[in-house]
Amino acid sequence: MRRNDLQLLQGTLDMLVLKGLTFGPRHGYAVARWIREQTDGTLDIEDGALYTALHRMEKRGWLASEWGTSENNRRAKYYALTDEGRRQLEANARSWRLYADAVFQVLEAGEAPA
Amino acid sequence: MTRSKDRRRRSSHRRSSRNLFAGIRRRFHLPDLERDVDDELAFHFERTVEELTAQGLSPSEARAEARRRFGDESRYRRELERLDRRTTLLRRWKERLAALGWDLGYSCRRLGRSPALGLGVVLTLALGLGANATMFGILDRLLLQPPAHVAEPEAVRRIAVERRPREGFERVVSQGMSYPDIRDFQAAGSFSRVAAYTRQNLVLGRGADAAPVSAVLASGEYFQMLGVQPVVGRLFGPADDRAGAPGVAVLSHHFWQRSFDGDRSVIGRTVDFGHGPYEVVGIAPPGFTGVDLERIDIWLSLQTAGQDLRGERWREARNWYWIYAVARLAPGVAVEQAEAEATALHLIGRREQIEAEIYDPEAEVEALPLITARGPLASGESWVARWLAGVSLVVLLIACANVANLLLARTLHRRREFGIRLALGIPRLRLLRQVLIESFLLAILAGAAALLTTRWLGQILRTTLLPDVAWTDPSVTARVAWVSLGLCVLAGLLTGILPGLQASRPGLIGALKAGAGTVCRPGTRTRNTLTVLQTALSVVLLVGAGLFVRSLHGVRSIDLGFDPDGLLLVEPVYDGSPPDAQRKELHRLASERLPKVPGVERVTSSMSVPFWSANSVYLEIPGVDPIPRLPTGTPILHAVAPDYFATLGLQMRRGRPFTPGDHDGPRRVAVVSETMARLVWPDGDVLGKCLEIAKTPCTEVVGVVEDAGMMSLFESEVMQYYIPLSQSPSGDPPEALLVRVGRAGEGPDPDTVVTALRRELLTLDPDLRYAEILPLTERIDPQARSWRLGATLFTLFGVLALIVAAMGLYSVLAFAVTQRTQEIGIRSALGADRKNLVGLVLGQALRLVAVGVAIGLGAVWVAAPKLEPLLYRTPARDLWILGSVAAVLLLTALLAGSLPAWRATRLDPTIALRAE
Repeated sequence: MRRNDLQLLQGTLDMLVLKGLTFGPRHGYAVARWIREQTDGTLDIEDGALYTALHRMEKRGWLASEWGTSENNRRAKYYALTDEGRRQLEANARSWRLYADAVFQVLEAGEAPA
Repeated sequence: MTRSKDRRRRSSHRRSSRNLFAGIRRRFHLPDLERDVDDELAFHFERTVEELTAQGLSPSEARAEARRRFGDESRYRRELERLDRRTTLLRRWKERLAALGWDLGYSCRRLGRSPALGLGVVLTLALGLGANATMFGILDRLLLQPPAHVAEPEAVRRIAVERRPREGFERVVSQGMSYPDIRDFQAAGSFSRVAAYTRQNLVLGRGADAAPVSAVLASGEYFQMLGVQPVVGRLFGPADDRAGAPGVAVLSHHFWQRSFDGDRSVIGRTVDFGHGPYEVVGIAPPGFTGVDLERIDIWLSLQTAGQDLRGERWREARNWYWIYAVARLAPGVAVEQAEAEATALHLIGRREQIEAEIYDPEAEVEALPLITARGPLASGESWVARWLAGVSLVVLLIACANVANLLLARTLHRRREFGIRLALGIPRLRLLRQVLIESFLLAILAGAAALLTTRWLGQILRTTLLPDVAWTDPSVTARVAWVSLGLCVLAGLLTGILPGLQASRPGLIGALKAGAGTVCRPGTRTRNTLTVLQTALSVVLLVGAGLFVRSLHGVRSIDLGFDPDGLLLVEPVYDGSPPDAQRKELHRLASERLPKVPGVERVTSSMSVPFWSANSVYLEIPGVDPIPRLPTGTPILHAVAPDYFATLGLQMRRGRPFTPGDHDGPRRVAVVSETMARLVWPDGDVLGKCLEIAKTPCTEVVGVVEDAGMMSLFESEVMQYYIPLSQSPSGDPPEALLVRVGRAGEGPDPDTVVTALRRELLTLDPDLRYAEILPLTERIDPQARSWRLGATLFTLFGVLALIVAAMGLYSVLAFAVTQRTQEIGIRSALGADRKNLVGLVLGQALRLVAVGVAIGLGAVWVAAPKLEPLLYRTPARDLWILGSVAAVLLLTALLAGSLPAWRATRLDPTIALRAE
């Protein structure tokens, strides 16, 4: 992901991260891996950008974090959705869908009537 | 990862060390942030590398791939730390706010549970804060703020001359000067502009519509020099103010609203004072009062108005000290430099008089600050106001001591609660804060109450005590509100800190083990000290009140020779300047007709009227050369109509008053005042002596009349002599009528009499436009104003202080009785009778107050001499006043102690002993 794409896609990245947390609290590595698996690596998101998104949303109160012990007994920071985060995800997803539908409608439209 | 482990150990150590200041330290350091980011990323890299090696990459390839996938690590790390820092800070503020909100809610609930105490505290503090808000508002106007709308006010200076009025006299500073003097100053390069102005009361309109207005005659430079901008039209300038030019006028905003309903079409119209029309050219901004603080209605161009009101000579006469100068310093010119240049110019301008030895060759020009109260011309009122501002702070201090005392008592009641909370590990700071929040809450409530009261009470106080100042601002301005807020915070701190420290004392945990009746009574000494402090401060205020009341009484009982109460001064106002004969005829008619108006007892008129005008003429006395001189000047000549002495109520000491024959006949007769008789003819042989008045032939002295006040309540001695009006050497008409009506509260309503008098007078001469009628007391009272101000407010504040102190004392005693329930029970069980118990409580009251009185009197003894210049013939260490105040306080102590003492005697020993 190039630097100049960052702004364009920041909202999208936030949405993906929020979605990744809807299944329960996860640490950053698990979120990164989940996104990569879901997209088959199509979106080459830098892990650093992903962590930035996590911390930023924590600051905004969309996420809550807690230190816990990982599967292999190591100290790891777990993130969980807050109610506000859940609301944000729903709102973002809705508008993203509307936007995408609109774009697809244009792209798949037939020839314009003369 | 050794690095992060190491840090972890340190921080856990840090966490374990809990003390009072841990909270403060946490506030400034954000520890563990870097470590957390370290740990999180370390975990991420480890897992990524594990995953990649599992996919078959070599460890070094896996590490490189993990780094590639992560992106610019140092940049992201910085970003993450930045975000975390803000997250932490944000969270901390939220927590703090929540805790504060909880404490605030807790305080509110607590206050709600004891509304009486809360109300008492709020009222007490509101008294103190209200007194301060009011006094600050007054002081702000008099001393701190320059007159409104003046641009760069520090560069505007009042020009005054310091000189000896006569050989052998003290030097005095005076703003009054002649117009040519001001012309001299206009040549000075040190000033960018010099303006001339003088106050004048005029009458606008005629007949029933006539109304007195307060006018300023201002030179063309006046508005430009002050840098003021009009709200409508324009302000007149040098181009308008030329000799022979038509008169122009500027209205004050207030006057425009009041008399013209703010109608803009007033511009271009003319106003008439009976001397030809003045065109209204503009309206001054609201609140503009020129360089002084008095309310002004209208400004007139000096060149035309001077001519109209003062005649031809005003531009040249060097011996008329009637006009003031204000100047703006040229940029970069120091005050001393300007004064030196102006002094040089002044002495050149005054050369002729100096050579004729009638002007002080050592006269010095001073460029005084625009704010009069900051210069040597400060009024007595402004000095008293400064003292009163200090006094209001003392009132606040007393109120704070009292409230601290009340809150302290409550803290002691709540010892167990605080003890439990300390034992539960609630930090001391939190407890201290809890108590402070309560006191701040109370102080803020009190501040709000104080500002509300100040809004109307302050308004009433300042307009009655300082009626000359145009109080255009509301009594609560933003500045007053800010200062009050500051004082609120101070009051909250002062009242909360002692109870707060008491509440958070670790020793309170011990309170859990014992009941309230233990021998140790923490806080008692603090409470006693506060009571003593209140008493001492009340003593100081009451002594101040006593001194001022005594001064005012002294001023009020100054014997003027005549009784000003019920004496009206009536000045006829004409259209233009009628001939003297017409004026004389009016006075003659008035003396016939006005006594018939109901409520009027006697009518006379005079040239030279006490507290109004004084004339003297060239006088020679055969056989007496030179005539003795007094600081008050040469003898003052009164040319009086019949009935003058009787109207004023002046008693003859020797000889006879004037008879109708004297007023009509050709024989020249005079009556002299006691002082003049004593000084001119020390041997007492007065009657039959000869006065040569204004080079006329001999006038025979036929009587001696008692001394009458002339221009000031405080003048030492004045020589005065009287002749019948018909014999006046100048032939000038009298200046005013003097009408004796019933004393205030007797006979018809004074306003009715005034209206009837004016109506009757206006029928006597069609050229009359108006009659200015005012009680003579209005001319005299302003001279007593500073004492009245001091006496009223010192007494008000002193009584407030006394009440507050008495309440404080009562609460201390009542609390002591509760605290000593057990002891008292034992005593009465052992056979102590009521007398002993009453003595026990009252003894404590008297001891506390006696110590306070002693300290207060000591303070007064040291400080009072500084107050002495503001007093009137009252020694600052007046033993009678000191004694009375001490007695009042001891009496208060007995009163405050009586209820708790009574309660002590009513305690049932068996119940008392069982009390916890």
